[in-house]
Amino acid sequence: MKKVRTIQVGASIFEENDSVARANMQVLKERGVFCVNVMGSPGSGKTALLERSVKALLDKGIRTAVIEGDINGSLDGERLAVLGIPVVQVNTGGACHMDANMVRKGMEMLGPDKIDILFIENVGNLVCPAEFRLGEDVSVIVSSVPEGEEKPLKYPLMFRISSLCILNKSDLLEFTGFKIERFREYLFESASGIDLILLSARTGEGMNGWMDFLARGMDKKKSPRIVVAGMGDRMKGDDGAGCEVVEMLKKERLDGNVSVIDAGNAIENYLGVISKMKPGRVIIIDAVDFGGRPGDARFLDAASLVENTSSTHTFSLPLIIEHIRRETGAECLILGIQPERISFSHEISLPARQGVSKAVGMIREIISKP
Amino acid sequence: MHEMSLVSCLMAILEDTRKKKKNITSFLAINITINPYSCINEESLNFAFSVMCRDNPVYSRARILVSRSGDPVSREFLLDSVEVEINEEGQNDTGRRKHL
Repeated sequence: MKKVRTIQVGASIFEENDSVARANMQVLKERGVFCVNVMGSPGSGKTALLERSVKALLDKGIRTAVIEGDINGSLDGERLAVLGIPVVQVNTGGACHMDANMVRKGMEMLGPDKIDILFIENVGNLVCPAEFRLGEDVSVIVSSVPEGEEKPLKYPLMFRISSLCILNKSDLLEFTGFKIERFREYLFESASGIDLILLSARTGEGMNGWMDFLARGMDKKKSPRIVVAGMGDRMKGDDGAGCEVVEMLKKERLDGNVSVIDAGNAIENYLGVISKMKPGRVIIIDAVDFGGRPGDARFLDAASLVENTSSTHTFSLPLIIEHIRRETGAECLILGIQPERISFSHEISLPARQGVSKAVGMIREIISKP
Repeated sequence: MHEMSLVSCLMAILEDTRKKKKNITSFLAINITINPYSCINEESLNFAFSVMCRDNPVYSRARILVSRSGDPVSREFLLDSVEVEINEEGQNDTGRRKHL
Protein backbone atom coordinates (compact mmCIF):
# COMPACT_ATOMS: atom_id res chain seq x y z
CA MET A 1 0.00 0.00 0.00
CA LYS A 2 1.31 3.42 -0.95
CA LYS A 3 1.18 6.33 1.45
CA VAL A 4 2.31 9.94 1.35
CA ARG A 5 4.80 10.97 4.00
CA THR A 6 6.84 14.05 4.79
CA ILE A 7 10.49 13.50 5.61
CA GLN A 8 12.40 16.24 7.38
CA VAL A 9 15.83 16.67 5.81
CA GLY A 10 17.34 19.95 7.04
CA ALA A 11 20.42 19.87 4.81
CA SER A 12 22.23 22.83 3.30
CA ILE A 13 22.50 22.64 -0.45
CA PHE A 14 25.70 24.65 -0.24
CA GLU A 15 27.23 22.31 2.34
CA GLU A 16 29.61 20.65 -0.09
CA ASN A 17 30.89 24.04 -1.27
CA ASP A 18 30.96 25.45 2.24
CA SER A 19 33.02 22.60 3.63
CA VAL A 20 35.68 23.20 0.95
CA ALA A 21 35.49 26.94 1.68
CA ARG A 22 36.14 26.23 5.37
CA ALA A 23 39.13 24.08 4.43
CA ASN A 24 40.46 26.90 2.20
CA MET A 25 40.01 29.34 5.05
CA GLN A 26 41.91 27.05 7.39
CA VAL A 27 44.84 26.69 4.97
CA LEU A 28 44.99 30.47 4.51
CA LYS A 29 44.78 30.97 8.26
CA GLU A 30 47.70 28.61 8.85
CA ARG A 31 49.76 30.48 6.26
CA GLY A 32 48.72 33.87 7.63
CA VAL A 33 47.36 34.96 4.25
CA PHE A 34 44.66 37.63 4.12
CA CYS A 35 42.20 36.68 1.38
CA VAL A 36 39.99 39.18 -0.44
CA ASN A 37 37.16 38.14 -2.75
CA VAL A 38 36.80 40.95 -5.29
CA MET A 39 33.42 40.98 -7.00
CA GLY A 40 31.59 43.32 -9.31
CA SER A 41 29.89 43.56 -12.65
CA PRO A 42 31.87 43.18 -15.90
CA GLY A 43 33.68 46.42 -16.65
CA SER A 44 33.46 47.81 -13.12
CA GLY A 45 37.26 47.96 -13.02
CA LYS A 46 38.16 44.99 -10.82
CA THR A 47 41.30 44.15 -12.77
CA ALA A 48 42.35 47.79 -13.03
CA LEU A 49 41.92 48.11 -9.27
CA LEU A 50 44.06 45.02 -8.70
CA GLU A 51 46.76 46.27 -11.09
CA ARG A 52 47.12 49.51 -9.14
CA SER A 53 46.79 47.74 -5.78
CA VAL A 54 49.43 45.13 -6.53
CA LYS A 55 51.90 47.83 -7.58
CA ALA A 56 51.19 49.93 -4.48
CA LEU A 57 51.48 46.89 -2.20
CA LEU A 58 54.74 45.78 -3.85
CA ASP A 59 56.16 49.24 -3.07
CA LYS A 60 55.30 48.61 0.58
CA GLY A 61 56.96 45.18 0.48
CA ILE A 62 53.65 43.33 0.70
CA ARG A 63 53.54 40.15 -1.34
CA THR A 64 50.37 39.40 -3.25
CA ALA A 65 48.97 36.72 -5.52
CA VAL A 66 45.82 36.59 -7.61
CA ILE A 67 43.40 33.84 -8.54
CA GLU A 68 41.72 35.24 -11.60
CA GLY A 69 38.29 33.92 -12.45
CA ASP A 70 36.79 34.30 -15.89
CA ILE A 71 34.34 32.28 -17.89
CA ASN A 72 36.79 32.21 -20.76
CA GLY A 73 40.20 33.57 -21.76
CA SER A 74 43.23 34.76 -19.86
CA LEU A 75 43.44 38.47 -20.69
CA ASP A 76 42.97 39.66 -17.13
CA GLY A 77 45.41 37.10 -15.75
CA GLU A 78 48.03 38.21 -18.27
CA ARG A 79 47.56 41.87 -17.31
CA LEU A 80 48.34 41.01 -13.71
CA ALA A 81 51.10 38.46 -14.37
CA VAL A 82 53.29 41.13 -16.05
CA LEU A 83 53.55 42.79 -12.65
CA GLY A 84 55.69 39.85 -11.55
CA ILE A 85 53.31 38.32 -9.04
CA PRO A 86 51.96 34.75 -8.97
CA VAL A 87 48.71 34.60 -10.93
CA VAL A 88 46.52 31.60 -11.58
CA GLN A 89 43.91 31.95 -14.27
CA VAL A 90 40.79 29.88 -13.61
CA ASN A 91 38.29 29.44 -16.40
CA THR A 92 34.92 28.50 -14.99
CA GLY A 93 33.86 26.83 -18.23
CA GLY A 94 30.56 28.63 -18.48
CA ALA A 95 29.79 28.87 -14.78
CA CYS A 96 28.69 32.34 -13.74
CA HIS A 97 30.63 32.32 -10.46
CA MET A 98 33.68 30.87 -8.76
CA ASP A 99 33.15 28.16 -6.20
CA ALA A 100 35.28 26.98 -3.31
CA ASN A 101 36.66 24.02 -5.23
CA MET A 102 37.99 26.26 -8.03
CA VAL A 103 39.73 28.37 -5.39
CA ARG A 104 41.15 25.24 -3.73
CA LYS A 105 42.66 24.16 -7.04
CA GLY A 106 43.92 27.70 -7.65
CA MET A 107 45.59 27.72 -4.25
CA GLU A 108 47.27 24.39 -5.02
CA MET A 109 48.59 25.79 -8.29
CA LEU A 110 49.96 28.87 -6.54
CA GLY A 111 52.08 26.59 -4.40
CA PRO A 112 53.68 27.30 -1.07
CA ASP A 113 55.26 30.70 -1.94
CA LYS A 114 54.96 33.11 0.94
CA ILE A 115 52.35 35.75 0.26
CA ASP A 116 50.56 38.26 2.46
CA ILE A 117 47.39 38.92 0.48
CA LEU A 118 45.54 36.62 -1.89
CA PHE A 119 43.10 38.40 -4.18
CA ILE A 120 40.38 36.36 -5.83
CA GLU A 121 38.97 38.24 -8.78
CA ASN A 122 35.55 36.67 -9.20
CA VAL A 123 33.62 36.35 -12.45
CA GLY A 124 32.05 39.67 -13.43
CA ASN A 125 28.50 39.27 -12.17
CA LEU A 126 26.44 40.92 -9.44
CA VAL A 127 24.23 37.89 -8.82
CA CYS A 128 25.75 34.44 -8.53
CA PRO A 129 29.16 35.06 -6.90
CA ALA A 130 27.30 36.40 -3.85
CA GLU A 131 25.89 32.95 -3.14
CA PHE A 132 29.18 31.05 -2.88
CA ARG A 133 31.67 31.16 -0.06
CA LEU A 134 35.23 30.65 -1.21
CA GLY A 135 37.19 30.77 2.04
CA GLU A 136 37.83 34.50 1.87
CA ASP A 137 38.36 36.79 4.85
CA VAL A 138 36.45 39.64 3.30
CA SER A 139 34.31 40.25 0.26
CA VAL A 140 34.64 43.53 -1.61
CA ILE A 141 32.13 44.73 -4.16
CA VAL A 142 33.50 47.01 -6.87
CA SER A 143 30.76 49.20 -8.28
CA SER A 144 31.45 51.99 -10.73
CA VAL A 145 30.07 55.39 -11.59
CA PRO A 146 28.89 54.53 -15.13
CA GLU A 147 26.76 51.68 -13.74
CA GLY A 148 24.43 54.15 -12.02
CA GLU A 149 23.35 54.65 -8.43
CA GLU A 150 20.74 51.94 -8.13
CA LYS A 151 22.86 48.76 -8.12
CA PRO A 152 22.68 48.28 -4.31
CA LEU A 153 18.90 48.21 -4.53
CA LYS A 154 18.81 45.88 -7.53
CA TYR A 155 21.37 43.39 -6.20
CA PRO A 156 21.08 43.67 -2.40
CA LEU A 157 22.61 40.31 -1.51
CA MET A 158 25.91 41.18 -3.17
CA PHE A 159 26.17 44.38 -1.10
CA ARG A 160 24.91 42.74 2.09
CA ILE A 161 27.54 40.02 2.11
CA SER A 162 30.37 42.47 1.35
CA SER A 163 32.39 44.30 3.98
CA LEU A 164 33.45 47.08 1.65
CA CYS A 165 32.03 48.77 -1.42
CA ILE A 166 34.53 50.48 -3.69
CA LEU A 167 32.84 53.00 -5.96
CA ASN A 168 35.31 53.02 -8.83
CA LYS A 169 35.81 55.47 -11.72
CA SER A 170 35.28 58.47 -9.48
CA ASP A 171 37.14 60.49 -12.14
CA LEU A 172 34.01 60.15 -14.30
CA LEU A 173 31.70 61.73 -11.74
CA GLU A 174 31.90 65.16 -13.35
CA PHE A 175 30.92 63.76 -16.74
CA THR A 176 27.87 61.83 -15.62
CA GLY A 177 24.67 62.55 -13.78
CA PHE A 178 25.72 60.16 -11.01
CA LYS A 179 24.44 61.36 -7.66
CA ILE A 180 26.77 60.17 -4.92
CA GLU A 181 24.30 60.94 -2.12
CA ARG A 182 21.65 58.83 -3.78
CA PHE A 183 24.17 55.98 -4.13
CA ARG A 184 25.03 56.26 -0.44
CA GLU A 185 21.35 56.22 0.47
CA TYR A 186 20.68 53.09 -1.61
CA LEU A 187 23.86 51.41 -0.40
CA PHE A 188 23.18 51.87 3.32
CA GLU A 189 19.52 50.98 2.83
CA SER A 190 20.61 47.64 1.39
CA ALA A 191 23.64 46.99 3.58
CA SER A 192 23.81 49.14 6.70
CA GLY A 193 27.16 47.83 7.95
CA ILE A 194 29.16 48.21 4.76
CA ASP A 195 32.05 50.67 4.31
CA LEU A 196 32.32 52.83 1.21
CA ILE A 197 35.44 54.11 -0.54
CA LEU A 198 35.25 56.44 -3.52
CA LEU A 199 38.15 55.52 -5.77
CA SER A 200 39.60 55.86 -9.23
CA ALA A 201 41.84 53.01 -10.29
CA ARG A 202 42.91 55.23 -13.21
CA THR A 203 44.00 58.33 -11.27
CA GLY A 204 44.71 56.74 -7.90
CA GLU A 205 42.17 58.82 -5.98
CA GLY A 206 40.96 56.97 -2.89
CA MET A 207 43.78 54.42 -2.94
CA ASN A 208 44.94 55.39 0.56
CA GLY A 209 41.61 54.36 2.06
CA TRP A 210 41.78 51.04 0.22
CA MET A 211 45.36 50.43 1.32
CA ASP A 212 44.35 51.18 4.94
CA PHE A 213 41.49 48.70 4.62
CA LEU A 214 43.90 46.00 3.42
CA ALA A 215 46.44 46.85 6.14
CA ARG A 216 43.76 46.55 8.82
CA GLY A 217 42.71 43.22 7.34
CA MET A 218 46.26 41.90 7.45
CA ASP A 219 46.65 43.06 11.05
CA LYS A 220 43.43 41.35 12.03
CA LYS A 221 44.58 38.20 10.31
CA LYS A 222 47.75 38.16 12.37
CA SER A 223 45.85 38.92 15.53
CA PRO A 224 42.46 37.21 15.23
CA ARG A 225 39.39 39.19 16.10
CA ILE A 226 37.75 38.35 19.40
CA VAL A 227 34.00 38.63 19.85
CA VAL A 228 32.65 38.63 23.40
CA ALA A 229 28.90 38.03 23.55
CA GLY A 230 26.93 38.17 26.76
CA MET A 231 23.55 36.49 26.82
CA GLY A 232 20.71 36.18 29.27
CA ASP A 233 17.41 37.62 30.38
CA ARG A 234 17.74 40.71 32.56
CA MET A 235 14.20 40.18 33.80
CA LYS A 236 15.18 36.89 35.41
CA GLY A 237 17.63 37.82 38.14
CA ASP A 238 20.95 36.04 37.81
CA ASP A 239 20.15 35.04 34.26
CA GLY A 240 21.26 38.56 33.28
CA ALA A 241 24.83 37.94 34.52
CA GLY A 242 26.22 37.41 31.00
CA CYS A 243 24.80 40.76 29.87
CA GLU A 244 26.17 42.41 33.01
CA VAL A 245 29.69 41.21 32.12
CA VAL A 246 29.32 42.79 28.70
CA GLU A 247 28.05 46.00 30.26
CA MET A 248 31.19 46.19 32.41
CA LEU A 249 33.50 45.38 29.48
CA LYS A 250 31.92 48.14 27.40
CA LYS A 251 33.11 50.68 29.96
CA GLU A 252 36.70 49.50 29.58
CA ARG A 253 39.17 50.60 26.95
CA LEU A 254 39.42 47.41 24.97
CA ASP A 255 41.74 46.53 22.15
CA GLY A 256 40.32 47.50 18.72
CA ASN A 257 40.36 43.85 17.81
CA VAL A 258 37.78 43.01 20.45
CA SER A 259 34.05 43.41 19.82
CA VAL A 260 31.53 43.20 22.61
CA ILE A 261 27.91 42.26 22.00
CA ASP A 262 24.98 42.29 24.41
CA ALA A 263 22.92 39.52 22.84
CA GLY A 264 20.19 39.52 25.48
CA ASN A 265 18.03 36.44 25.42
CA ALA A 266 18.24 35.95 21.66
CA ILE A 267 21.85 35.33 20.63
CA GLU A 268 20.53 33.66 17.50
CA ASN A 269 19.61 37.15 16.27
CA TYR A 270 23.29 38.09 16.31
CA LEU A 271 24.74 35.10 14.48
CA GLY A 272 24.86 36.98 11.17
CA VAL A 273 26.63 39.92 12.83
CA ILE A 274 29.14 37.61 14.50
CA SER A 275 29.82 35.74 11.24
CA LYS A 276 30.40 38.99 9.39
CA MET A 277 33.07 39.99 11.91
CA LYS A 278 35.06 36.89 10.90
CA PRO A 279 36.26 36.29 14.45
CA GLY A 280 39.15 34.05 15.33
CA ARG A 281 37.71 33.51 18.77
CA VAL A 282 34.22 33.89 20.20
CA ILE A 283 33.55 33.99 23.93
CA ILE A 284 29.95 33.50 25.01
CA ILE A 285 29.08 34.37 28.59
CA ASP A 286 25.93 32.96 30.08
CA ALA A 287 24.40 32.02 33.38
CA VAL A 288 24.72 28.25 33.38
CA ASP A 289 23.90 25.72 36.04
CA PHE A 290 27.04 23.59 35.91
CA GLY A 291 26.68 22.37 39.47
CA GLY A 292 29.15 24.82 41.00
CA ARG A 293 28.73 27.23 43.91
CA PRO A 294 26.71 30.36 43.15
CA GLY A 295 29.10 32.95 41.75
CA ASP A 296 31.58 30.42 40.34
CA ALA A 297 32.78 31.30 36.87
CA ARG A 298 34.45 28.81 34.60
CA PHE A 299 35.04 27.93 31.00
CA LEU A 300 32.84 25.08 29.88
CA ASP A 301 33.07 22.55 27.13
CA ALA A 302 30.10 22.69 24.74
CA ALA A 303 29.92 18.90 24.80
CA SER A 304 29.76 18.84 28.58
CA LEU A 305 26.88 21.30 28.46
CA VAL A 306 24.76 18.76 26.66
CA GLU A 307 25.45 15.94 29.02
CA ASN A 308 26.11 17.44 32.41
CA THR A 309 24.47 20.80 32.63
CA SER A 310 21.44 22.65 31.54
CA SER A 311 21.53 26.12 30.06
CA THR A 312 19.13 28.59 31.57
CA HIS A 313 17.77 29.20 28.07
CA THR A 314 15.33 27.21 26.07
CA PHE A 315 17.50 26.91 22.94
CA SER A 316 20.54 24.77 22.66
CA LEU A 317 23.76 26.66 23.30
CA PRO A 318 25.86 23.85 21.79
CA LEU A 319 23.87 24.27 18.59
CA ILE A 320 24.70 27.97 18.53
CA ILE A 321 28.36 27.17 19.15
CA GLU A 322 28.35 24.60 16.37
CA HIS A 323 26.82 27.15 13.99
CA ILE A 324 29.43 29.80 14.82
CA ARG A 325 32.26 27.31 14.43
CA ARG A 326 30.88 26.13 11.12
CA GLU A 327 30.32 29.64 9.78
CA THR A 328 33.55 31.25 10.93
CA GLY A 329 36.00 28.52 11.86
CA ALA A 330 36.47 30.44 15.11
CA GLU A 331 37.45 28.92 18.40
CA CYS A 332 34.39 29.16 20.69
CA LEU A 333 34.57 29.40 24.45
CA ILE A 334 31.65 29.32 26.84
CA LEU A 335 32.16 31.18 30.07
CA GLY A 336 29.52 30.05 32.51
CA ILE A 337 28.50 31.87 35.68
CA GLN A 338 26.75 29.74 38.26
CA PRO A 339 23.50 31.51 39.21
CA GLU A 340 22.02 31.57 42.69
CA ARG A 341 18.47 32.18 41.60
CA ILE A 342 16.68 32.51 38.29
CA SER A 343 13.40 34.22 39.04
CA PHE A 344 11.42 37.24 37.94
CA SER A 345 13.61 40.11 39.11
CA HIS A 346 15.81 42.87 37.77
CA GLU A 347 18.31 42.24 40.57
CA ILE A 348 21.38 40.04 40.25
CA SER A 349 22.25 38.28 43.49
CA LEU A 350 25.44 39.13 45.38
CA PRO A 351 27.16 35.80 44.58
CA ALA A 352 26.32 36.17 40.90
CA ARG A 353 27.69 39.74 40.97
CA GLN A 354 30.94 38.32 42.30
CA GLY A 355 30.79 35.83 39.44
CA VAL A 356 30.41 38.72 37.01
CA SER A 357 33.59 40.35 38.37
CA LYS A 358 35.46 37.06 38.09
CA ALA A 359 34.27 36.61 34.53
CA VAL A 360 35.40 40.12 33.56
CA GLY A 361 38.87 39.33 34.95
CA MET A 362 39.02 36.04 33.06
CA ILE A 363 38.10 37.75 29.80
CA ARG A 364 40.63 40.52 30.38
CA GLU A 365 43.29 37.86 30.77
CA ILE A 366 42.31 36.13 27.52
CA ILE A 367 42.20 39.39 25.59
CA SER A 368 45.64 40.44 26.81
CA LYS A 369 47.27 37.23 25.53
CA PRO A 370 48.69 37.45 21.99
CA MET B 1 21.35 31.97 -13.08
CA HIS B 2 23.28 29.08 -11.61
CA GLU B 3 20.22 26.99 -10.88
CA MET B 4 21.65 24.00 -12.77
CA SER B 5 24.62 23.66 -10.45
CA LEU B 6 22.40 24.11 -7.41
CA VAL B 7 20.01 21.44 -8.63
CA SER B 8 22.99 19.15 -9.04
CA CYS B 9 23.81 19.59 -5.32
CA LEU B 10 20.13 19.19 -4.44
CA MET B 11 19.91 15.94 -6.41
CA ALA B 12 22.85 14.52 -4.48
CA ILE B 13 21.02 15.13 -1.18
CA LEU B 14 17.75 13.72 -2.55
CA GLU B 15 19.49 10.59 -3.77
CA ASP B 16 21.10 10.23 -0.39
CA THR B 17 17.67 10.48 1.23
CA ARG B 18 16.36 7.87 -1.18
CA LYS B 19 19.17 5.51 -0.25
CA LYS B 20 18.37 5.87 3.41
CA LYS B 21 14.61 5.41 2.94
CA LYS B 22 14.61 2.61 0.45
CA ASN B 23 10.84 2.34 0.03
CA ILE B 24 10.35 5.77 -1.54
CA THR B 25 8.51 5.22 -4.80
CA SER B 26 8.02 8.83 -5.79
CA PHE B 27 9.00 12.35 -4.74
CA LEU B 28 6.05 14.73 -4.75
CA ALA B 29 7.27 17.97 -3.22
CA ILE B 30 10.72 19.27 -2.37
CA ASN B 31 10.52 22.08 0.16
CA ILE B 32 13.46 24.43 0.25
CA THR B 33 14.19 27.70 2.01
CA ILE B 34 16.22 30.37 0.29
CA ASN B 35 17.66 33.63 1.55
CA PRO B 36 15.13 36.40 0.82
CA TYR B 37 17.65 38.33 -1.27
CA SER B 38 18.90 35.41 -3.31
CA CYS B 39 18.38 35.80 -7.03
CA ILE B 40 17.56 32.13 -7.45
CA ASN B 41 14.36 31.83 -9.45
CA GLU B 42 11.79 29.19 -8.53
CA GLU B 43 10.70 28.56 -12.12
CA SER B 44 14.28 28.25 -13.36
CA LEU B 45 15.01 25.92 -10.48
CA ASN B 46 12.09 23.69 -11.44
CA PHE B 47 13.09 23.81 -15.08
CA ALA B 48 16.65 22.75 -14.25
CA PHE B 49 15.26 20.06 -11.96
CA SER B 50 12.96 18.66 -14.67
CA VAL B 51 15.86 18.59 -17.13
CA MET B 52 18.20 16.83 -14.74
CA CYS B 53 15.79 14.11 -13.67
CA ARG B 54 13.71 13.64 -16.80
CA ASP B 55 14.79 10.02 -17.19
CA ASN B 56 14.12 9.15 -13.58
CA PRO B 57 10.46 8.21 -12.87
CA VAL B 58 10.95 8.66 -9.12
CA TYR B 59 11.09 12.42 -9.68
CA SER B 60 8.56 12.73 -12.52
CA ARG B 61 5.81 14.09 -10.25
CA ALA B 62 8.05 16.20 -8.04
CA ARG B 63 7.98 19.97 -7.79
CA ILE B 64 10.34 22.23 -5.91
CA LEU B 65 8.53 24.61 -3.58
CA VAL B 66 10.48 27.64 -2.44
CA SER B 67 9.97 29.69 0.68
CA ARG B 68 12.06 32.75 1.34
CA SER B 69 13.14 33.48 4.87
CA GLY B 70 16.07 33.51 7.23
CA ASP B 71 18.99 35.78 7.89
CA PRO B 72 19.43 38.04 4.86
CA VAL B 73 23.22 37.88 5.20
CA SER B 74 23.55 34.14 5.57
CA ARG B 75 23.37 32.95 1.93
CA GLU B 76 21.03 30.25 3.14
CA PHE B 77 19.76 27.53 0.82
CA LEU B 78 18.24 24.67 2.79
CA LEU B 79 16.44 21.52 1.82
CA ASP B 80 13.87 21.49 4.64
CA SER B 81 11.73 18.48 3.83
CA VAL B 82 10.42 16.26 1.08
CA GLU B 83 6.95 14.93 0.56
CA VAL B 84 7.23 11.43 -0.79
CA GLU B 85 5.09 8.48 -1.69
CA ILE B 86 6.27 5.34 0.03
CA ASN B 87 5.42 1.71 -0.39
CA GLU B 88 4.51 0.56 3.11
CA GLU B 89 4.42 -3.06 2.06
CA GLY B 90 7.98 -2.70 0.99
CA GLN B 91 10.78 -3.18 3.39
CA ASN B 92 13.75 -1.26 4.63
CA ASP B 93 12.17 1.90 5.96
CA THR B 94 15.32 2.42 7.95
CA GLY B 95 13.82 5.31 9.90
CA ARG B 96 10.95 3.18 11.23
CA ARG B 97 13.13 0.19 11.93
CA LYS B 98 15.46 2.33 13.98
CA HIS B 99 12.47 3.65 15.87
CA LEU B 100 11.16 0.17 16.62
